[in-house]
Amino acid sequence: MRRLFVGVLLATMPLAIFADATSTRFQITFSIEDIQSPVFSAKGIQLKVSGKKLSQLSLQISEVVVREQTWRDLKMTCDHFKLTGSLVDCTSGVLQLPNTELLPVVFRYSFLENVFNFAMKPMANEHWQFSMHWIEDAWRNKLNITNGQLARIAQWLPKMEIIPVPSKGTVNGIAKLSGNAEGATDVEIALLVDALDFSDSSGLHAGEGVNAVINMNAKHSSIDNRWQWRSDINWQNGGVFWQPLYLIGRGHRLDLEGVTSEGTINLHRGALSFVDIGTFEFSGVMARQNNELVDFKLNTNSLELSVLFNQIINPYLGNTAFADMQVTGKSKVAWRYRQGVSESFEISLYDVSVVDQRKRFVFNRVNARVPWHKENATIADISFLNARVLQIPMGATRVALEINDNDLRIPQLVLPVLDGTLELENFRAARQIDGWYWQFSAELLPVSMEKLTEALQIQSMHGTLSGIIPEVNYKQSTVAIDGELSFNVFDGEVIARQLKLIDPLGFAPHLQVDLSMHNLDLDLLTRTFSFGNMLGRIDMEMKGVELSNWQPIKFDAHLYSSSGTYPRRISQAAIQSISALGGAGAAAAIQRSFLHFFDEFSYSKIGWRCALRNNVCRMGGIEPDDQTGKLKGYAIVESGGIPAITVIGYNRDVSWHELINRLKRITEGGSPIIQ
Amino acid sequence: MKNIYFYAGLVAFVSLLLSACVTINIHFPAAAADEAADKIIKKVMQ
Amino acid sequence: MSNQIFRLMLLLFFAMVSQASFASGNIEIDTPAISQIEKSMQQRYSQLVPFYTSGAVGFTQDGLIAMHDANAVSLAERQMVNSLIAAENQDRNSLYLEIARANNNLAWEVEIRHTFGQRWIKLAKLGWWYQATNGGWVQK
Repeated sequence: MRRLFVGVLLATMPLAIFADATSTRFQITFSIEDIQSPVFSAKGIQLKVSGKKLSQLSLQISEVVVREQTWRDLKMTCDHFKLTGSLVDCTSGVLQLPNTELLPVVFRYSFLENVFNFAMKPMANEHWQFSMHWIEDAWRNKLNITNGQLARIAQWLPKMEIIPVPSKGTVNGIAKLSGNAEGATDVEIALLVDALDFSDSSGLHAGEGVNAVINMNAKHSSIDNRWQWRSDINWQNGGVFWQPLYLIGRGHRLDLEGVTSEGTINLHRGALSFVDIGTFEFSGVMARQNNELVDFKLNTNSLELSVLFNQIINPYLGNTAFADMQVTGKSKVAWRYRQGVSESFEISLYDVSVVDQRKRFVFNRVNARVPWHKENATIADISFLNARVLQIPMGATRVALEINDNDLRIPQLVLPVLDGTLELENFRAARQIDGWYWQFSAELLPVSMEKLTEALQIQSMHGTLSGIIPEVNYKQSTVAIDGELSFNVFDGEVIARQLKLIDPLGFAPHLQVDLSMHNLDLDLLTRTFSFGNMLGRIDMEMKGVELSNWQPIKFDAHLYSSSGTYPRRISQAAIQSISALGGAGAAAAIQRSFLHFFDEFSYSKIGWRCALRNNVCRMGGIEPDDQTGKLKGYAIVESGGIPAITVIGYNRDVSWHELINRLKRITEGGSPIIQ
Repeated sequence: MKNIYFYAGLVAFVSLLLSACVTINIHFPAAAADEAADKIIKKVMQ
Repeated sequence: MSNQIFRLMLLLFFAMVSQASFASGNIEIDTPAISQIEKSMQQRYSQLVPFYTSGAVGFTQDGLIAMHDANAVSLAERQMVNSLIAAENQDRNSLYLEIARANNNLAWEVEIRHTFGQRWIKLAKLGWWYQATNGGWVQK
């Protein structure tokens, strides 16, 4: 440092000294075209000393470059300038940097004492004091800041769009740098930043009212050419938005300690303490050549998940299905990264609850230890007290999950579902380039329909639901069920085939299924829905059923009397209900006719069809649709026996909403009143 | 002569069938889409 | 005989032409999923309007919205605006996909998105910001 300084002074002398003899005053001008040094370079330097006793100094530098930053047109003048054999002294100078107000400066350079002092006092209580002192090869620099206005730094720095620059705030403290001929050996920084506002031009990295204490020291050892350093930052106050995080200083601390040698940065001990969350302790090694992490080790204490999730994890989940979760409980994480690859990872959960705000899933009291190792297979132990997925409750479950690198397996799992159980076998999951794949086979042991309908909050039904599912698989966000799910309801059977659930956790899940129903007992059915009593049995085929967000948008349904012998009777109330489906007028017409004298009729066949497309149900009856258009009506109930009745529908197209509303009115209101 | 008409007809018929396969591609109804988009956007912006 | 074939051809031709034109007439937007998304977007719209007006948020060419000027929002609110944008974009993405799905033509999603991108900008109020085709932001 000193050598450079003296070198520069010497360099200036022979270049251009000329005294302006024509003037009454003396003027000496030094000018230097160019200075190059490893630390900085400067161009167009002009130093003028003039006035009586050479008491006026003016220094102009047209360009200074430090690293990649450039300052242009720096000016300094000094009215009370003293230049003697042993002293350069300026007691009232003015420094002018581009685009800033004039800064009063004082400086003194004593050849005898080996001291250079520089002080700047931009405002009454603001003080920047720099001193440099040297003996032989050893030198000491010290910067003392009192109420330094941080906004000034922004003015000094060249304009750069991406770097956040301070606009407000003060800094107090000391920075010391000392060394010898070989370079710096000691660094000591203790700063207190107060009420700092900063922002980059986009506003995506900004802070307001930030208070922080920064301490740092580093020592160089010349024997092995290493820097040993330690720093701690305590962020006490103020908010910072660092896209997408918004954090408020509440005494969070970052402590770092390590050694930097020629090739590597070795972090011996790092600790990040987040108030309300917990502490992350880490250490690691980074290669300096490419700034790549070589080794890393992270351990946490018991972390408070609610705050961690809300403040730090959730902002990164922005567009995913998991952004609407509420997570509570505690967690511990450990991670080892060695020789450039992850070696092991372990996460433990303690009494964690996960609640989806959109009510798609809830898991309560989850306890888990999930280890992963690059080379060895591990077994994770996961349990929960209860859960609810798509409204269906599940009981206490404990799973042993085998993890083999990216391959997950559960040989067997018993899930209590409602009053039955779902037994999963050979669950396998793997993560591939285009997302997760998983599959399993399962057996559903009878679940009562009463419980299921209650859970789904739909019309209560009796019967059971059970089935053997050869394979359920998930790929490209679609769950597909291979095989048949059979429900035993209304003394008959409902079989679901080709079941596909697209985007189950997405905003609008899509469900596709083919349903076949056989031998449903009309008596039970009509009683359940208070439709008006009917005796008999029906089959129903529903092909290509498509639900979007659990609402039907497409299907081809055909309902017809089952084959076989059984009593076929239809009550007056049921006739009314069927007619009411066709509109209010039809029901009234029946009431006016002689038909209302009879309570019951017999029938030979019932048939109804509905092809739902674009919210319109195109209805038909017992016979397939007549394409010729000659027949206006379609028979829904065909007569048989005495008293006989035939119901013919004339409305072909009914809005689905309207049809559902009519059904609701009929089933909620009980049988229509006969006047 | 009649034969020639017949073959010409057949060729035309087959080529029509082929070209018909191409025309089955449903073109994006841009005008209808504009209208549909406006309808939804106006509903959202109420 | 050839006459009959010509007649047949003519008939077939008309049958096909009419079918093709029939299929390309309309766009289905009336499904439960679409109306659910509309409802969700409708509810969010009033929250977004102040940010459209202040220029904090603007419309992009691909039918989504994005942060245009974060400085127009107080620091504490920026994250909230971020999540509003994320939620709105999630809805918009689902909307475009659902419309394609409702029309049994998933390949249309790109064109639907493009159409919406244009229409949102067209129907945006004066003073609101949008991203031009060259990527630069423009005030209406």
